[in-house]
Amino acid sequence: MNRLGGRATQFTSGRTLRAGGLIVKPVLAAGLLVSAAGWAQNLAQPDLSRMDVEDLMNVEVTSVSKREQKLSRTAAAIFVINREDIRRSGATSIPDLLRMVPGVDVQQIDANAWAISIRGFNSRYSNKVLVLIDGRTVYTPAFSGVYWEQIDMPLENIDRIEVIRGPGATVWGANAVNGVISIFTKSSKETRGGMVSAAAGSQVHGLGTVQYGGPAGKHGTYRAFGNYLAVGNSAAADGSPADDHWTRAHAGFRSDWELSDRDSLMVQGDLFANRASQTRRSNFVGTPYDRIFNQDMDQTGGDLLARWNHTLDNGSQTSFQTYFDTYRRTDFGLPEVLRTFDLDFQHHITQGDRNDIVWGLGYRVSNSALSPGYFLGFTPPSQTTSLFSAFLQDEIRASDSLWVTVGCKVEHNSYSGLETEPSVRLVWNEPGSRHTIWAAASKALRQPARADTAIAVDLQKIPIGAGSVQLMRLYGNPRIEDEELRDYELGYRSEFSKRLSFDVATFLSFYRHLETFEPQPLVVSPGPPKQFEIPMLFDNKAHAVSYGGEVSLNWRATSRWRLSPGYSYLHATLRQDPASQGLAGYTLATGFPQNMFQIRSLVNLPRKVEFDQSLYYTARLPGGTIPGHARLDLRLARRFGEFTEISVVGQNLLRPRAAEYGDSWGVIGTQAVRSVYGKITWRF
Amino acid sequence: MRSHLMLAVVLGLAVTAVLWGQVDEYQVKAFFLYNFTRYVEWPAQRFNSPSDPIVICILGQNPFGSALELAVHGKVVAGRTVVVRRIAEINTQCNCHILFVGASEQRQFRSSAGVLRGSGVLTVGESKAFASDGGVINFKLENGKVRFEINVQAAGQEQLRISSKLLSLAEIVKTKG
Repeated sequence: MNRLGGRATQFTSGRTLRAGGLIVKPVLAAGLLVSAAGWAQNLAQPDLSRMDVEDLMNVEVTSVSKREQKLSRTAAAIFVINREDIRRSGATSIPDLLRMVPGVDVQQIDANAWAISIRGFNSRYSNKVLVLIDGRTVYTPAFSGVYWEQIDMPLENIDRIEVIRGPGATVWGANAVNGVISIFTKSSKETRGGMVSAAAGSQVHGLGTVQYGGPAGKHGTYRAFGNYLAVGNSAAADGSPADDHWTRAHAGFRSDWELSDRDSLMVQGDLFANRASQTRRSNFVGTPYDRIFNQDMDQTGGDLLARWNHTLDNGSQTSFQTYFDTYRRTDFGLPEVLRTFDLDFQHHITQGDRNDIVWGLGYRVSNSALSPGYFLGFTPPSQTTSLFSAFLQDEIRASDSLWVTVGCKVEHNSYSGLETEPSVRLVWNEPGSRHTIWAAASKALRQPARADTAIAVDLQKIPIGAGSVQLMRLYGNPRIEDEELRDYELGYRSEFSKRLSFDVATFLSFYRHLETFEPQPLVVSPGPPKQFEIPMLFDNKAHAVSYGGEVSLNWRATSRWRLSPGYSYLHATLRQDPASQGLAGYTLATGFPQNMFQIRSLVNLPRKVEFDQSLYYTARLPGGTIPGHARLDLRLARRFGEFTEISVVGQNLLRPRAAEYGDSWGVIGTQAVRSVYGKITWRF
Repeated sequence: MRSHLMLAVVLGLAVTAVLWGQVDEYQVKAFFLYNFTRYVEWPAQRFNSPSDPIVICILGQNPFGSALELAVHGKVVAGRTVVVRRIAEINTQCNCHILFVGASEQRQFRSSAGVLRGSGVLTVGESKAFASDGGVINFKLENGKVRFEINVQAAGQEQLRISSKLLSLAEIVKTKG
């Protein structure tokens, strides 16, 4: 499913940085670093020109993956987090890893909840970014969005994360509206032997992984792991400890088999159990009368996936994948269960030297159940929905320099029926040239989630006088439509040299049929207490225009030092249709910063010591509730031989605590705290 | 203020970095290509005169930057200089002695490799199926080190004589199908 595979670094136009001191300083400092780096370059590189073949075979090389080479032909804003990026990030969770991608907005709501989005619309239930793990979707069709705390895994097992900003619906289908995040785990061929890692610190109280891999039969390999994570409380708004600690236990396996020259099989599975604490307010839409309370959330789940790749006689490749995925979580004290079964077939054909065709078919059935509660329920409580899809995409070599990719996905879902998601992409890259220009026009859709059609939830309850309450209650709308995006992108990337690459992506996006909550006539029911209910109904009565871009630079200043700055800009205007009197349900403008800046620096010191720094700056959220904030993470690590690594990581070092996002859907936002942890990894 | 101090410390430390160690994959591959010219003998009719240069062609995308030019600069092999040329597509007029097919060009190679068959070109690739698809030498990476496979059958078809030294260091593979 990684048709847009590649690696890019991005950067953008947009406005000049609105500089708080925090932004100017690093830029200046980076400039100094750059000039200081000059002298160091090329020192002590081995003299390859005197080496014979045997010697060359012993030189250790840094490698850009094969995939990266195709980057020059990828007509999308793509960024790949590779193994080195992961190892050196110091991150202990997938959300923290994603911070390094320019244009991806990662904000911690509390210690176990995140708001993560791309190009706008950020909240706890960000619903326009599709997330996949080895081809398995982890976007929940119940409430929409991703429960990030449910998909964590030992980061050592990740091969790469490909992040595409912008629509990817033609290949990936609905909900790949503003981006696609694809996580690929390593083949078990590459994780033979044992690994034990343990970390402990002030915020991450404990993180341990035990893993072993080896041969499975004559032609296969396997790995199995167990992983445990315990995270402590962050800080409440007044600085006192919040109640949002959580633990996660996760066991999993992966097995890869070369069945013949033409066939390979991969099977993998996971089981997890989380227990988390959260502070909520009693109303989703806050009032001064809200009760603030703590709740425990239990989350358990598992998945099992198999993929069979087969090469046909004519050299074309087929892939057949099936998986089952389930979770059960008690949020709001109510058990919610989701079960998904998915079948996916793809066929990749190279037709002559001009056409590269991929087509595929998919079927997914999912059952979502939520036990009805006092203030929240689904009608009906349990429902099974199915999704049929088919797509065709052809990458055509129009000339030596020009590739044109056209494709379309057709889907049928239980809520909004038949839909199409076409796209056209162009790439201009002259043979031998270092410069690539690409452009794309595409349509993408967000399908209604079950909550949009079936929910009934109290948004706000206010006591008015003695014995009566005013209630705002939100109802799902069975006739809700898809949210639609028409998107135009233009990008440029260049490898000025093997050391310096540059990437800019810009976009202009038109959204229609965005969701709103529309007020309905007042319903009065005699008490006690006497109830004045304002029913709100999901509808599609808003539209939006946004534009912006992302820029990034990847510079190997010397063979021991890599610098990667990035910047992103978003300007968004959300408008409700004249007929709308309600609330724009999912906010475009208020949840996403207009400017984000970051710089990462990876330094190899002598004696196998690594020193890595990441600085992130997020501008004030347009709503004004959260001021601009910066985050600094540092990692110092030393490797002992090939098998042992010891590291010390500091996170959030600039301030003792800082709010990143604020409240989201009734969850009280906390402040991320300054923290330190130490980690040891041993392989055998 | 404290944050700025922290930053200064970080950046100060960064500057103190001294360098040695890892090398870019393609720098190493460039010197491999140069070394191949020393250990491979082409059929006599591939050269018009004893002073004709050995031509290394890069197909399509150039992953080397300027590393290959630098690697062969000023080198003389059996009285011949070595030159680097870039070609957009595979044809018989290009007069290459070595044709390097980067991973991004594997598809083009697979569909038009037949054009070259028997014309005495040492094809060098870096994709999983390159040698079994009829390429002569294929690079691979193992534990961060460059290794290579040789398809002796393909070398024979191209009338290339590969020294036993090179063969002893390579993994020998065959054409599939």
